[in-house]
Amino acid sequence: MNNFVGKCAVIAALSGLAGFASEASADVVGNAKAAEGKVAMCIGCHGIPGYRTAYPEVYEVPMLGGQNAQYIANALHAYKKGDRHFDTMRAIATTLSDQDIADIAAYYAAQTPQSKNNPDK
Amino acid sequence: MKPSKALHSSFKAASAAAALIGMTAFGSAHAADVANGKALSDSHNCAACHGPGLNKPVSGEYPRLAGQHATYIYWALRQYQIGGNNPNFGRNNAIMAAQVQNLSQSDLKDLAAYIESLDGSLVLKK
Repeated sequence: MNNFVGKCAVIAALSGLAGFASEASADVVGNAKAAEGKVAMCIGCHGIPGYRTAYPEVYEVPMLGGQNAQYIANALHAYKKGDRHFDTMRAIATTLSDQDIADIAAYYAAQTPQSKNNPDK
Repeated sequence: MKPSKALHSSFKAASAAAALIGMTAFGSAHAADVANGKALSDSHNCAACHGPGLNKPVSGEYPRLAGQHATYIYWALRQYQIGGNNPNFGRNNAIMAAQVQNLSQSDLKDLAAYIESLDGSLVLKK
């Protein structure tokens, strides 16, 4: 039981740190327009209806359009740091700057059923 | 029977067996119980964070879920059960880990099917 409580305390502390980290990058303002030239790597999977991963589990990659920008940004930062695990996403996220991440998050968050597909891709 | 013919027959038998197993797995994958998923979503207060209809999260840090692919939701939930100690998969989130710890894989599939069945504002665009 003590061990469980200890684990919870550690998790809570780590969550606090993660929260701090995401706040630290919150002053970067995302620009959806600027992301049009940055999402080629995203579209290769997330822009294809029915696209599935192969390993370690077969599943359809998540729909990103209309998702919360903060959630997307946190996910990309977590992949970049290695806190969230998926080799492909980690490889891509490590190439992104804080500004790139904010732009891409704003780009997907702004999508609606009426959005036109990326004119650059 | 010639050896090649025997091999062929046993291959056919093995294929038939594999097909049967495949069909069973296929059958169970499609037996996801949306009503049970809704009951679990209500009893676990998913809407308290993910918002009404699981489509309007109370904080931008939480994901919008309604309509998301069931196979992805199942894997995300499964990863919260696995936790963050494995370098190749698993997700680390104290709230979600606590939410899913007592759920079976069948429960997770039911929840995922319920979430996918909801109308939401997620879209797939390039």
